[in-house]
Amino acid sequence: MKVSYNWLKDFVEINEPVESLRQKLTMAGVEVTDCQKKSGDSVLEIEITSNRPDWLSHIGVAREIAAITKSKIKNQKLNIKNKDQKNNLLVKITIEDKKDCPLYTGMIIDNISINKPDPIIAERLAILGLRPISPIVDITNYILLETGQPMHAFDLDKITARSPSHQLAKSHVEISIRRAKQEEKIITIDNVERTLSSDILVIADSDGPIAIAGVMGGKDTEVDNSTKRVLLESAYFDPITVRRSRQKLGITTESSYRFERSVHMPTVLKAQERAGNLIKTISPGANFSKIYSNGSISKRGKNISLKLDINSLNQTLGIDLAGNEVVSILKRLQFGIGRTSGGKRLKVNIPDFRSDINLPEDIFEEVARIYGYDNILVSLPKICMQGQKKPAADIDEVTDLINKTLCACGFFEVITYSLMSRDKVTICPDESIIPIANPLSKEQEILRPSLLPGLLEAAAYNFNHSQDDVKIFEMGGIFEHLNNKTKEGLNLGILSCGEKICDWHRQAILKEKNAVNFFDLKGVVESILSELGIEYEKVSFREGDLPIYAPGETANIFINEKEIGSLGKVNSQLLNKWDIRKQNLFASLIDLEALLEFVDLKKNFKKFSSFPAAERDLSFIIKENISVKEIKEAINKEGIKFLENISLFDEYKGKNIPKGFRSLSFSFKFSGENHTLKEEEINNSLAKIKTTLMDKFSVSMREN
Amino acid sequence: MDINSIKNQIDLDLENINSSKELEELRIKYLGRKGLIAELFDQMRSAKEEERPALGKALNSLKIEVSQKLDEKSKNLSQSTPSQAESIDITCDGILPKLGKQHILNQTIQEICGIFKTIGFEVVNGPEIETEFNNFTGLNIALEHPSRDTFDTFYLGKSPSQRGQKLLLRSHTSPVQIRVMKSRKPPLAVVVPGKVYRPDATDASHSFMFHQVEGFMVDETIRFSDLKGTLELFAKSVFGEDIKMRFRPHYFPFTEPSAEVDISCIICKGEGCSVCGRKGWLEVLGAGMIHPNVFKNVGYPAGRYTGFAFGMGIERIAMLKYGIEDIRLFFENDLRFLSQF
Repeated sequence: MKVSYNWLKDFVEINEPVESLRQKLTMAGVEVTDCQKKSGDSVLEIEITSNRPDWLSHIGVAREIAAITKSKIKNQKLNIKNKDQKNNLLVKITIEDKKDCPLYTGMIIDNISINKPDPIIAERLAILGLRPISPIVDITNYILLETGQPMHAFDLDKITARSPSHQLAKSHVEISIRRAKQEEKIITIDNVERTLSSDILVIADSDGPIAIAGVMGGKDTEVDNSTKRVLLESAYFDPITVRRSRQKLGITTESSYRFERSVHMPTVLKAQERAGNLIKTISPGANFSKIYSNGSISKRGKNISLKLDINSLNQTLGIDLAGNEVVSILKRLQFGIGRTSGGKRLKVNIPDFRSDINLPEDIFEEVARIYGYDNILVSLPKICMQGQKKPAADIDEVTDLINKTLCACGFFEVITYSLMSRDKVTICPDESIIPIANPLSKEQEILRPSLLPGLLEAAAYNFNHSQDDVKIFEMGGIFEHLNNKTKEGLNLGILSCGEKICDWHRQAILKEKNAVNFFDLKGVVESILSELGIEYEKVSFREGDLPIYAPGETANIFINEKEIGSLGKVNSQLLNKWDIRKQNLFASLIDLEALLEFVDLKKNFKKFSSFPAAERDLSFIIKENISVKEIKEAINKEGIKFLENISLFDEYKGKNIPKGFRSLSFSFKFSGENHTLKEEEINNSLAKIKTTLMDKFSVSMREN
Repeated sequence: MDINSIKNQIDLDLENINSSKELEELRIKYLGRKGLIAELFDQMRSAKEEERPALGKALNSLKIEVSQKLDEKSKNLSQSTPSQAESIDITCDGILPKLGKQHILNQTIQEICGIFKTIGFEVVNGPEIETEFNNFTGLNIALEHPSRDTFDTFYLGKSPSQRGQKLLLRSHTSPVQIRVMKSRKPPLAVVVPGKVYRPDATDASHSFMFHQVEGFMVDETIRFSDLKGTLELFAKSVFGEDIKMRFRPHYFPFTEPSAEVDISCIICKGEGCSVCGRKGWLEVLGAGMIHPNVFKNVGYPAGRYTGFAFGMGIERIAMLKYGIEDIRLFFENDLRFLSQF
């Protein structure tokens, strides 16, 4: 809201330069965000929090300045004189539901004839950026900025002209405050035809709506420069009702802004008086009816009182104010102080314009605010923690460890949006997708059912910016609708693409590119599982069939018999959706919550032999359909003496190998716990391995 | 060649030697099995009987001398710059190991949570799909009040609901306050990092998804001054010992008293610049004493506890700390961006 420094001075003595006033207001919670000098005045832009509608006027801000700067309030009662010439025109007000409108007042002014508008009003409105409309409307706008009470002026002759019944009875006007009928229409003063509904409160005559209550008037009955007779409205509309109207219609006005935050009931009537007064000064011949009203000032507009315990105030704030200091602050804020018992408990009467004060804690804030937050010394909390028992494997520890492992493997963590567009989904059945009810754009239509789309999006972005080595991962929530419930799960997604070795030196030697492959990513996944303390024996990679992967190059990952994720080469059809023209993208998706039960972060030192280990290689031709896993398991089952580790080092198919077979080469590592192995011992063990292979798989050994 | 000419020749030969390979060839030439000295030993057989001992002695000392000269040359060779033929250009690029990095937002979250952990806070996570009660009502935010306007919210479609409550994407991390307090009794000191969502049009300073860290402490004697002390400790740890702080009164429905917390602009040191909008101050936190209605809503006995709560936007903190000017950079995941932190 904009306020004029000079106008404020009508209501409070200000003995400070603008800059220092700005500072003080800001530090008391009336944040001044800007300050501009304008034709001999200064315009302060202030941000007013939604709990302080009483600040939405010059009088309100002036009151605050008085409290902050300990200066004197002036003219807050407004200069309201009795109007002598009265007309006998009658306003009949019907209110359909007092909840929507607890108080409505109307006054008719006739015989209006304006030579020229009030120069002060014109100047002040101009400084605050309001364009002049017509002298009467300018006055209602002026009163709004001065008192915070929105008013509306209807051209009475235009109301009469609308309806034959009114033409018959020129001496009175009947209006009702009611909910709009379904599909009822009104053209508002901004020249837009609006279709109404029963959520919207209107002012209507017998012919239909003439204004949207608290939001905007109708074009039909708008006053202009030739208006002779007006019906002047000042009312209290229910904040929630006005809020619904303006949300439904999508228009926010100075009026709706104030009604939504609740206006000050006693000002409803004062504004009528003030308006009459101002109109009189520019149109001395005008006649006024009495102020007709329906409804009354409700409880909300009356004073309440609260008990304030000074000890409790000091304790909560961490300060040590004496009772009289508290009293002095509260008096500056126009709070009344009732009986006190020993100075430690006060009865505080809350002024009727402070609808935000309902609890003692609200008064604590008032005292702290005026005392100055900056004057409260800092302390550190005295708290005795009970300590929380740590769960066996905390999900934060798991994500932390995964993060470290993947970073060490050269992967970058990414954060992608949890919302995405529906047409980027591929594998999820439609009924499991959770849609967003109110997306702003296509990219916010649904909650992601998988981390893969985000990873592909990030990869595509980097490819488009000439970065071809993309090794990224994300840990985040994925969402699905399952058995009529929403499910939110923490997942890990890894994506790998590009060169494995791509430094200048090796490229020069190898003369070839070395792209990452399935086994690179499989190794990364194995490293993660191993770091999480999941024993290798429990993990199995089984042939997978998820359509996001290329057939034949995908695996499902199991721990014991529980599936925890998948791994594979990303299907090229999927890549097309992101216009990715590369072929070798590998991804892995892992359900971290499913994984959690197998995580064992306890570590025990395992002794290793201090005697040298021996390595022996074996190459053999074996049927293609026998997996490496089967071979290793078969050997491990034999319990070969001294065998410490088996590792694959070559796979070969093609020339010299019969069709349906392949050649595999393994390296076997042997070591003795308490002695250096003798050649004979090694040979015995190796012979046993050979026998096992030949007996179980009928392999034929290749001699090196 | 006789002993003297060998003595002369070796010096000449050594002068022309530049590499250990050449030196090795020279060693073979003189000391090899068929080398020059071996040849002289062979010739010794044809010498007269009485001359032999002296000749043998002379040849042995020649052998030692040559060997010493070769060794000395070898020593000199390894000390001096190697010849071009066998050296590498050490100014070629070092081969940088490919390091992965944690996302800067998560690094920032870890840093912030780490600071609070050192003073006894625990980290708690909460779900991103929330109920209206936890996100609004429980926190004393009336559903139809203007105070809700700052919390524009994504609702879930297809009306999946829990116990008749509409589900939504949390618009702040504060619902976790309700979750923790409903299930546990004070003392509590908790920080909550996480993603939050608000339907904002995306631009350089707005994103419909962003991150917050929420913190709260509840016990029987928690004071507003404790909030000030705790946040001062935090801000100085993140932004440096020499920053100034100020607490301004503000309004949040879930705290009373409420405050906005500014730090002196870390770019201009309070002089006023474009980053701080010429104010000299940067708003970094919202905070306050937990509203009695929030305690009531979680079932704590009236008047028994006090507590403070605070919240901050992680993107904003990271942007200020690292001089990042566009929030979208965090979610584009450009490797040229990610690798900088």
